Amino acid sequence: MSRSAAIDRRQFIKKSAELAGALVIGFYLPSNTEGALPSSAPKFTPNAWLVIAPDDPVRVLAEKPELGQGSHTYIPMMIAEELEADWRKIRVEQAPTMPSIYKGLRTGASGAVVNSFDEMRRAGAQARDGTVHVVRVTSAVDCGLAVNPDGVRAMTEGGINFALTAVLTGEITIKDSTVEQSNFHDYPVLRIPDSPAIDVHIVHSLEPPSGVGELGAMLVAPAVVNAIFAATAVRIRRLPIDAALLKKSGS
Amino acid sequence: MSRFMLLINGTSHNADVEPETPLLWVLRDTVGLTGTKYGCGMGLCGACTVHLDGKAVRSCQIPVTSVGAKKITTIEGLGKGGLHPVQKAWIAEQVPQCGYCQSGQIMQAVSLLRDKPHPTLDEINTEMAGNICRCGTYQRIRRAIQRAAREQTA
Repeated sequence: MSRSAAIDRRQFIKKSAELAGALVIGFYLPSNTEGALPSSAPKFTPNAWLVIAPDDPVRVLAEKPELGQGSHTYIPMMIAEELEADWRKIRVEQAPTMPSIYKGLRTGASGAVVNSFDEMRRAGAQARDGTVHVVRVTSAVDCGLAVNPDGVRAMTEGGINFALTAVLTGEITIKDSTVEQSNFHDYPVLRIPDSPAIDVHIVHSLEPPSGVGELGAMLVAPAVVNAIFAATAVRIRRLPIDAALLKKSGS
Repeated sequence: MSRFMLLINGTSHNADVEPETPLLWVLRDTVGLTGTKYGCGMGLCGACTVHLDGKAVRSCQIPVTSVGAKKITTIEGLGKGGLHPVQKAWIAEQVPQCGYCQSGQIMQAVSLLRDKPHPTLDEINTEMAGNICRCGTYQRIRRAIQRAAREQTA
């Protein structure tokens, strides 16, 4: 999959200064090579560029061509969110074909587990009392060749259930240097009544198998809190979810 | 120490233990049937589930002195030489991952299906709520119970 060029920050800032006084921010979008990164910390390896010029709009130079997989959509969505910028002012442009800078000039932006945003919007945040019930989780997994597809499904389902504990109920508190929790009465874990329906879609791939042991858990928290935002306009910034925040929203 | 005679999986066993010893430990340590697992010791996780006269109980909460003549069934005694239909369904749906909670899950599921041969999804969720699975096999547990329900009445 994609690996961007390892350019260091100094080079990058130099490069950006050439772009007519605009502020250029490089950022790194995780691809599914995260698990395969070498043990030494990689240098700053941007694979998308954000240009905020004085005259607006915000231009995003995305290296991954849009082929219908949504790369030119989710990038500006994330930008708009982080900048709290007007969505209508974000423009995505295909990055120029400059392989010396843009090393990942192909459509393969499959990422790790992509939880379906629409489904999560229907996840049923009970805004009235603040309790969150996750009704359904839909997951698309690109793990390279799925040697045992049912195993991939099992691992994904398991990871989703596991992470839901962290999102919904699992909290460890420390008092006087001691963990306060001791058993399942004060550290509730997800039980079957609160376990959602789960759909796992495996993306067909002939890339080498990349493993899915930890994959299922990764994006559950962002998917759930994004769904809550879509349903209530409340941003959750801490886990487990505090029902009081959602109750206050009054929606 | 007292001597207790226990009927386990159709066989009589003697156990010389303190009367308050939880049945779980008598099964595991005295009798040597280790299929039943310890998870919490507080009746919260379901890993210790066995049957007393066919009804699911948490053996970590049963003092051995209270068992009396009731028939004890553990996971080892479920299949009667083969595989119980619930165990077959468990294999067909490929339920277990690490396996630690699965004895308890299966014992609870068998008890559920005896009470409710055609459980709704809500009934499955309610009856199985006491059995925790950290590996997250809940979706498959539901399907296996539904499969066993279909095949038991087929």
